[in-house]
Amino acid sequence: MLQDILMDAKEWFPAGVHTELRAQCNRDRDVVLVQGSLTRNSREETRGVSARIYQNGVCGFSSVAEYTQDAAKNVLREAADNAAFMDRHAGKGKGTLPPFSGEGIVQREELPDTEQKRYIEVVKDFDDYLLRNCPHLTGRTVRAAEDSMEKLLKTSDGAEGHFISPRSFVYIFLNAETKDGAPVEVYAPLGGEGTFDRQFENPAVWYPKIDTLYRQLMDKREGVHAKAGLRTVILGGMMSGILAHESVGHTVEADAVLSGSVAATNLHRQVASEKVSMTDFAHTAFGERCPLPVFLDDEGIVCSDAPLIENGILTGYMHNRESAQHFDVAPTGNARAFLFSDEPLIRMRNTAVHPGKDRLEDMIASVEEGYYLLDYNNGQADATGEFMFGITCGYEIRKGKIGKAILDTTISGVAFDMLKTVDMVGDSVTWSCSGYCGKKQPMPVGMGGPALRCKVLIGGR
Amino acid sequence: MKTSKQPGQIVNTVLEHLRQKDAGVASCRAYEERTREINVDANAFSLMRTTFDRSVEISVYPGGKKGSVTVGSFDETDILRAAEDCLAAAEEAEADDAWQLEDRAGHQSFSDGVPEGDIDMLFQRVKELLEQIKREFPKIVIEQLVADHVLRNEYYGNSHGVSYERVLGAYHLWFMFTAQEDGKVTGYNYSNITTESLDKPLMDCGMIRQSLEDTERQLNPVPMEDRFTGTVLLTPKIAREIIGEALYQFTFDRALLTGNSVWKEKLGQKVADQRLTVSLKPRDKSVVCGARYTAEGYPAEDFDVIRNGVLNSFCLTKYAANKTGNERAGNNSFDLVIAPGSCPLKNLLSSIEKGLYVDGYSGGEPGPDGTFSAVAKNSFLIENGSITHPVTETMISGNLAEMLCSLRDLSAEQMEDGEGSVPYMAFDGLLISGR
Repeated sequence: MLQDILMDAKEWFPAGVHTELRAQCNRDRDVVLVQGSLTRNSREETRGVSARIYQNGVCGFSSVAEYTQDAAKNVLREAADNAAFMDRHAGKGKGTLPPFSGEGIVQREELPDTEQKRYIEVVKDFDDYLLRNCPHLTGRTVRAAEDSMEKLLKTSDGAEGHFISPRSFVYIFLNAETKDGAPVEVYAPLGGEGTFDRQFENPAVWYPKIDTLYRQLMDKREGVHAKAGLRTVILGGMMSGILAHESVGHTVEADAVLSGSVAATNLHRQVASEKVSMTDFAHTAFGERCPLPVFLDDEGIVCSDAPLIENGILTGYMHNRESAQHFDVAPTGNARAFLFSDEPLIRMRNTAVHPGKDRLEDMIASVEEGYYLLDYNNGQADATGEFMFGITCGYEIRKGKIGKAILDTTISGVAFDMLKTVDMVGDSVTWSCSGYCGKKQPMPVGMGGPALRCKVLIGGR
Repeated sequence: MKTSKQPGQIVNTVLEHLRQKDAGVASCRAYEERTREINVDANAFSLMRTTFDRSVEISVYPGGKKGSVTVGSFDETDILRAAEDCLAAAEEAEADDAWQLEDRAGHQSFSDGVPEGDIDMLFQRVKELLEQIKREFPKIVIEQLVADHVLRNEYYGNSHGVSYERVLGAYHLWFMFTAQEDGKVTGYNYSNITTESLDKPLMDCGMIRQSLEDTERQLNPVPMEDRFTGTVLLTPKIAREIIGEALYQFTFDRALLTGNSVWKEKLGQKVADQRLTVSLKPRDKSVVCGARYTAEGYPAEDFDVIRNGVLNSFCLTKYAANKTGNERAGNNSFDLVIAPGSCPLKNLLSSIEKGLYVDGYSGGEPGPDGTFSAVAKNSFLIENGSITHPVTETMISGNLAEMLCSLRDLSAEQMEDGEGSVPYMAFDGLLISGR
């Protein structure tokens, strides 16, 4: 745990400018077993302190990989020099930021450090299970990882925070060959928020998920190529989560809006079917704790939900303090930094499509010819909202029934066009929070949604 | 940089501590790094950032059991605790005699690039670039630009008496942009360079000017309604991405360790058109501050992965080489050099009857067999040897392994951006499909 040695820090802050001082420790544990061989067995810790100073519309930032009072004073000085340099050469004369009188949020939880032995035991447990129960594998990789961030924050307008956000996963990669000898692969992350020893106290609770993954691999061995073109699809909950994040979420981050993303000209306009609503949740969604809750952001703003689409109408953006001032709205607490050496950027937290009323069975039964798409390995979107997701698990739908598995493919579309084709919305939400969102810095994020029936462009043959 | 201890002292302290603990084979790498960075957001300067980082990476292999710990501190208490943690982690591992570090004792010292950067000059060059863009490409909006100078002082040592000492510094520029007009916006495009010199305007480096020009021409794209098998002409930036995917899928550690590589039995055999030679060359003149040694302590040497269409080497670490019965690669960098062709770009373009000019690629990770499909971004339709119009909602599908055998040609022109050199590349027989 970081000890609070910054109690008196406000006395060191320069006058007349907005200042943030943040101490942070990131902890990573990583164990990888490939074909039963331990190829990685590592522990990593980065720790330091940083300062950011906002002066007349530009910022200075500095960090050092050291956590002492002297280090804090040094980064404050260096950040002030940098802010002055930028103000001198490119200042915008904007004055300071509106004050925010948020309360401090201090977590009292400890962050227990699981012994390395436990990570190795768990990957071996899963590997043994694969050997015993998955006879047709040609390759297997099991990776156990925990990453956590601990942050201690002080700002010039009085916000204080000390909070911890750990998450832990075991990633399972399974390989097999088609009858023609072509390799196929499926993968799944198991786990979520919390420390490794809590998530994987009893690995056996995860075995049913491994059984499902193995079945999907066996189906994929017999898989067919998708037929390229515009198709009716049912996107599973994992897919609607990445859709919310990539194709809408990134375009409605206020910094992207200020750079002219497609959302800039669509506020208060119909951008989706009226069945679609979407929110970037701070910490609680649909009455439950989000997969990666965020209570206080790295500018000292107490986090609140950012409604994005309500019944098909684009209603708002995600903000940091500066963009909130620009748009004359309250900040939502979306400014987050990955390492102590990173400046806060506007980032998503837990972005999700709201559930509807349709049952998945009815949705599949309603499709004459199309695809049921369940999982992906990556996704991207751009300023236009044109998105792409790599599909790793999906099935044909023929006359309302699930057919053959499909081989890896890609789907794409333009978000605000594609969302208007949504005509059925499932009644339950699936969340995910493994992996990182990339935007100058990586960042853990949560995303989720229900099944959606819509039209997308699918690659294939 | 203000620090009481140098990386070499840290490494020696760690190795001596591990020797006293009878840790057996061990290695340690320590570095300190200063980054000075200028940021532009939405066409305007936004941030100046200075960071001082430190890292100590320790690996031990007592009895062939590997443990690794990385700690971001030069404090002696922290690094000795990290060494102890590393031993404790290794204790829980299983012995694997495939781990092997360089054991030919010796010391090498390097100074690369421009260690002391000129941040004022960098600021002026960025300012000049913004002004040039405003003047020459008025429809371009910079979403984000990051320009920095990184100075690194590093030291590697292992228990076999191998050590490397290195000071390096380089400027980097990366920026992402769109073109905008009358409420219309293009997709993001990007450009980046690494350089040791600020002697010329940034606009004249790498492919910056070409990418800006292409992006302005992307306004008013037409959705592809067609579906055809055609030729794809990749800009060097995208050719690097695609060839990189192929190398990763077919030649890197994981592909061989899992047995997934479709090239696993192809060493010494034809895997690509005979005009294709693909190399990883950290010592090439086109690479700024390329790798000097590998994580296992071997000196980094240039090598050909594919030579005249024949698979010459996998890209394996010593560990993966020992595991799979192959040879270790000369280096484990990604300093990609692709030998150019003799065909001028304009002739290559005019030889294409129907296809796409592709300066952006957004695709899922290819399947292990190399099957891929991707959205063509910042792309133009080619008909009868000429670029006709920009396209949107267009996908390209194919197979990486097959594609390398259906090379139409490589251009004589190359992109040199400080991270290697790559020509334009055209491939036949890819499925291009729209709505």
